[in-house]
Amino acid sequence: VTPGRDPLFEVGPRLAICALLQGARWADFATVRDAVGAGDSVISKHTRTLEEAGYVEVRKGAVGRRARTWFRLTDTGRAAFEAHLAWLNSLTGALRAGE
Amino acid sequence: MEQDALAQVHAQRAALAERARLPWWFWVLFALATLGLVGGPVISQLLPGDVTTYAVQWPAIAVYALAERLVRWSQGISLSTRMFEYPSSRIAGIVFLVVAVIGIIGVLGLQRSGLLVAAVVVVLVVSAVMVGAMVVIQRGMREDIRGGRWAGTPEVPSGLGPEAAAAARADLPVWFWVLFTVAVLVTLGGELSGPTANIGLPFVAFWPGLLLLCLVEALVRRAQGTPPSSRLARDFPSTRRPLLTLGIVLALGIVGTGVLAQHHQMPIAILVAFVATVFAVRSRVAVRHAVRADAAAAAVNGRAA
Repeated sequence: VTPGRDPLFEVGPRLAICALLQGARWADFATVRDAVGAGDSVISKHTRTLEEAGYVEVRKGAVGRRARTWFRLTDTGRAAFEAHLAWLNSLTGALRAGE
Repeated sequence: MEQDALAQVHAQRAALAERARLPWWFWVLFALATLGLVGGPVISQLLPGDVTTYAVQWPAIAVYALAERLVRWSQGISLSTRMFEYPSSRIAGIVFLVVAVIGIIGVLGLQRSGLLVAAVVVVLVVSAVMVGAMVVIQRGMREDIRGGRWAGTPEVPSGLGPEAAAAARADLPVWFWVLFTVAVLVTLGGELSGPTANIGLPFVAFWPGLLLLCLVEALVRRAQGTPPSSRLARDFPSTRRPLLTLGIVLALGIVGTGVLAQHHQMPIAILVAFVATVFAVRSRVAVRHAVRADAAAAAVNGRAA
């Protein structure tokens, strides 16, 4: 993976959301909210930004009368997340070497 | 700040891995469905009335689907249903599929031969192996989630120290290749000389050969100090394709020779066994090349670090 900083991940819980979505095919809204430890509005706002960037796909379903929203990391999102992670790792490595 | 971000990523992965742990009721449903799928021919015979095998096997498949859906609803996550996307689960996934196919055909063969007790024993053993393989698959998936490994991500050989990398690049001894070839021949040839030819019972005589194959692999890893075979696909990502080929060749070879021997087509069965042996050895050589290439890459990465 070529390291590459992506400022999109540096705001709010977006990095945490993508880290969660990286290992699963789909995760529902409540799972993301509980794991990240943020409120409904924060999750809605940041997942919408990630969706607009093409990093996250949103699918709405229903169980009986209850609506259920599912998220998935797209291939573009996965690539960007991994590049950002590689950049973070290289930065941490460089800092350690400099100490 | 960077370390905080990385810690956050690790925390999320660990949380997801923990959430992916399957509940007890899934395992109950899975075990029942597996018993129904593998033991379909036996259960249908034991049930009163004129019950067909499919009348048992189709509901079992429905129970599999239901269990998967229930887990998805209760956990709020959907892991990939394609187990081959998680690198650590691939070998167990291949074992699961091969054992399932051979088990289902074997039980059918035993039931048709009137050997009901043997069929019941095979059903129990095959079901236990399938459940065990699924446990290993799930554990591998959780490990991969925790480590951030996914088929889509380019991988580097993991957890491979310089000594193990050097050992992996060394040549395999001649005795390994001789014993490996003998083990494959015993695996496939078992179907020709064993119960298949004598009493028309297929897919029973290959187990000793398969055990010998595992023993030979374990011996060479012990002698060379390389990682165990169960970690081969994870430590050396390039081995996955040739390992899959090897599994398919062995499964097709066993089924092919078994079916031909049952129909007393001995010359063709011997030819199939011979061709499958050649392809199996070729696949094992390809696995060897892949290990060497990945070990060399690991050594280069180690020097660069």
